[in-house]
Amino acid sequence: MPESYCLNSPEVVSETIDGEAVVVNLAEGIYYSLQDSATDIWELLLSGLALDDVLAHLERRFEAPRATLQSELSRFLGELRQEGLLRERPEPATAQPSELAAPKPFQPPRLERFTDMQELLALDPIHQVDEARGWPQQV
Amino acid sequence: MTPARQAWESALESYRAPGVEHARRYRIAHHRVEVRSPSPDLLETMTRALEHLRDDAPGPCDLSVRLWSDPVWRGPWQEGDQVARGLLPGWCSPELTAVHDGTLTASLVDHVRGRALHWIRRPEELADQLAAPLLSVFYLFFRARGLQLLHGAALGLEGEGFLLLGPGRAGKSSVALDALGHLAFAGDDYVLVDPEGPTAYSLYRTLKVRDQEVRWLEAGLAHRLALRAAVVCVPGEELSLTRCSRAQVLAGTAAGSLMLFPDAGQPDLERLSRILSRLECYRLSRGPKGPARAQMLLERTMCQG
Repeated sequence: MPESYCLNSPEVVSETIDGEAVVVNLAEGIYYSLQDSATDIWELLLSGLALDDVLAHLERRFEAPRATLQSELSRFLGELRQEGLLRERPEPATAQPSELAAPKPFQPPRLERFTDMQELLALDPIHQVDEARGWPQQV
Repeated sequence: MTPARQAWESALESYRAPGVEHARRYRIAHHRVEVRSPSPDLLETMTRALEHLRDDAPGPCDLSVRLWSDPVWRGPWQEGDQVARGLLPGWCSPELTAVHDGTLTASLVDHVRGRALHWIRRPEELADQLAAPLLSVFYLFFRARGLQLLHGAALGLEGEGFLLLGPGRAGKSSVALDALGHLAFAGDDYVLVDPEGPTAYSLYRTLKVRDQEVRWLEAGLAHRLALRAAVVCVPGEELSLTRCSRAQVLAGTAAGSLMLFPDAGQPDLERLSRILSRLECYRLSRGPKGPARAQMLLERTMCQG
């Protein structure tokens, strides 16, 4: 079966606005920002396409050699999986995403990672309650 | 009997034991809310933050909350049944959500029928919770009615205002504190937002001064504000207020607004996005000069055009 992925929900949530994707890992208290080619790859992966089809779409969207796109897709996918943002689908989706009118220059995708919300998770009443002083006092 | 029904009946049995009920009524975001308790003292303590929304007019209520204290009751669930943010998925049904907030409180919310049970182990154990009581109950009830509870402040003038959002320790509370007396508050730490408009509705009349200190506002409160903008506070070396993308504001606030509430997830993020899509978005770096100048800059930009 061809390799394909979907959002690792419900722990991970994602929303794309004006070409920028915001991804939140609720279990870990980490959020991510994706822009430019990272958003394109993220959206294509979330659409459930097989990796070969994702690559084919990237070739149509970006002015870059196939080998470069393949290498960057592989590296970026590894990063997304390492962060637990995606999980494998049982089978690829067949619906095709819409295409841009003209290819655009390619910049390697970047995953910006923010951890400042982890301190809020540390205040999670379930995990860190001082029995004597009450929520949200940390132990 | 389903586990959800079993949990509800167990809580109701514990609630009924004392017999007599006292009640107070409130109007929150156009909804009539009633809070009942066998203990007038507990009712007073747990509703102090809602006092500005008091409305004892008779008539049917959209939400009826029964709260009580019982040092012995623990609910029918076991310790390992809780997942993140206190949710008890094995004790929930499509209509009823069960949340055990640590060992101190539990909430059972029937958001379809508009009723809730809120258990408190011992009132003296509650600390900052009193500044934002019944948080899970309100989140679950209003979510079912299309309103989003946000972790952030809503400030403004003459019925119009802006959201002040941001990750922890970015300075939004100190900026909000400095706005006291200049701008009206719909909320400091939490605010209800109707994506239609969008409009911010007041929930609590409390303002967090420091981690352990709360100020109870008697004046300068706005029950509702028509929202025009969203400001995300970010750490920075220089004082600045600049336009930014909606995604930047969403990134700065989504995790904080989702991670505090039980069962929050993708629909909440989409609702947040819908709210922001109708607002001008800014990022505020308060810089080393402190919040006072940031507040002045905010007031000038947001409220004086």
